[in-house]
Amino acid sequence: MNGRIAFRLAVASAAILVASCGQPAAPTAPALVFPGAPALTVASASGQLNIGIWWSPPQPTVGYDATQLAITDAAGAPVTGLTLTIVPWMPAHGHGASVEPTVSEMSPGIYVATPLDFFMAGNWELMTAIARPTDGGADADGAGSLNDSADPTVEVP
Amino acid sequence: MTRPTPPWKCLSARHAAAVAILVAGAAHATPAAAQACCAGGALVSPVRLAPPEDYAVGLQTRVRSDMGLFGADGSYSSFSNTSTEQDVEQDLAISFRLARRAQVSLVLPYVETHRTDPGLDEWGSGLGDVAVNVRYDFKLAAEMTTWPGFALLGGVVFPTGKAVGDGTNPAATDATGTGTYNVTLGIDLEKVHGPLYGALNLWGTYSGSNSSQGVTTSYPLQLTALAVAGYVFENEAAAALYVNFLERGDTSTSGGTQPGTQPASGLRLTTVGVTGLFPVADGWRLSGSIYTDVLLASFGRNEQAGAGVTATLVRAWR
Repeated sequence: MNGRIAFRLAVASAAILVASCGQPAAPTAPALVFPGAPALTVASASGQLNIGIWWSPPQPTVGYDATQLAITDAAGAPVTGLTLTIVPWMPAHGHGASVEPTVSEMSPGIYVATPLDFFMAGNWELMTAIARPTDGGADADGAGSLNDSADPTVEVP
Repeated sequence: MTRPTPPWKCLSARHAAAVAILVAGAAHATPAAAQACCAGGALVSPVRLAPPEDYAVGLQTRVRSDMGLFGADGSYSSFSNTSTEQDVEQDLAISFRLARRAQVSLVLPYVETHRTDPGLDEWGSGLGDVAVNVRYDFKLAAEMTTWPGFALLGGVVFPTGKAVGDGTNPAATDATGTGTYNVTLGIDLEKVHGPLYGALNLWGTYSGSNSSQGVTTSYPLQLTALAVAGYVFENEAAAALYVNFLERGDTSTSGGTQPGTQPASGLRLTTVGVTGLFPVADGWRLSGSIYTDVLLASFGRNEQAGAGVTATLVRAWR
């Protein structure tokens, strides 16, 4: 009797383990459409850059999302040629995501990062490093090196 | 002896609350053990050894489904219909008596997570964070007539599971651990009166910082309180109601570049449940629980909220 109960419990546990071995598939890729005004605007850590932020979908959801960043200087001019490194992060839980987004400059000063792997609901932060490496002097367009950052946040319901 | 697991990946507080009571563990099967003095303690900790027992082995299964989210401001909102999450876990727990008043337990968890999003239906699993817990009873509840019994609780959780960021599944279902050590110290106050049993557990958990993807996160002390009120029946079964409350302050990150500009990152979760145990044969007991997080604003913060069930089969020896 006791042995049968233990055996059945063990079988039930094994069945759950087997059921959990399915192959993961990729979530649906987000559409890279960012209409209207930015969802929010933040200043960079140095205060020298203004960053307008759009989401796709406009209200981010659990799964793959995307963001567009419009980066301008104090005069409102687009800042081009930047290298952005974006890490989606959940500060309350101390973890990021399994998939790193790719960032591309789609037009002068307009950067798109996709996918943002918001795999669970909650408050997510985009830890964004902003850099423009140079050889020490000004580029052809007169821009010098830049090393800045920003951490916009979004609540994923 | 399994107590709430300190913050870990996305499982953090919700699992902690579940582990606290998931299963009533260790009533033992003699008439004397049917008294609240001995059986009641099993309503708090799985596989906790009753006074005459020397060691025990338990297999525990639990299933939990998340239904909504507590935001950073404590507001609660239900999930949309397009995303779901279920957490399943099997724990192998082994307890040994080191001395008359001291016992130690080892918990080996196997964690499975299921998430669905649009276009995604993903399972992941693996070994979770292994825990070692100790308990020293300075005064057993049965020894005290007026004052409650008093025990010191301690535990260490080792980062044997896979942390988020170390996994490869898009929905991070293969993440099974915190990625850091946790050390817990607490007290257990127990009072018995005939068949009635009551307990209050208070403990603090220190979590080491963890680093992932170039970001180091430091955690403040996490405080947890667990209150239990139970009844031990003549047929040696027992049942109890419980409430578990967890609170942790804001984390701090290096690599985060704009400190002070983010929403609150502290955790809070309040869980209520019913737990019970039933001796099925000499030396064997079966126990289980049903619980839910309190789905009201301000009863949680920065956590997914849900409900679950647990079941445990324990074999104990004298």
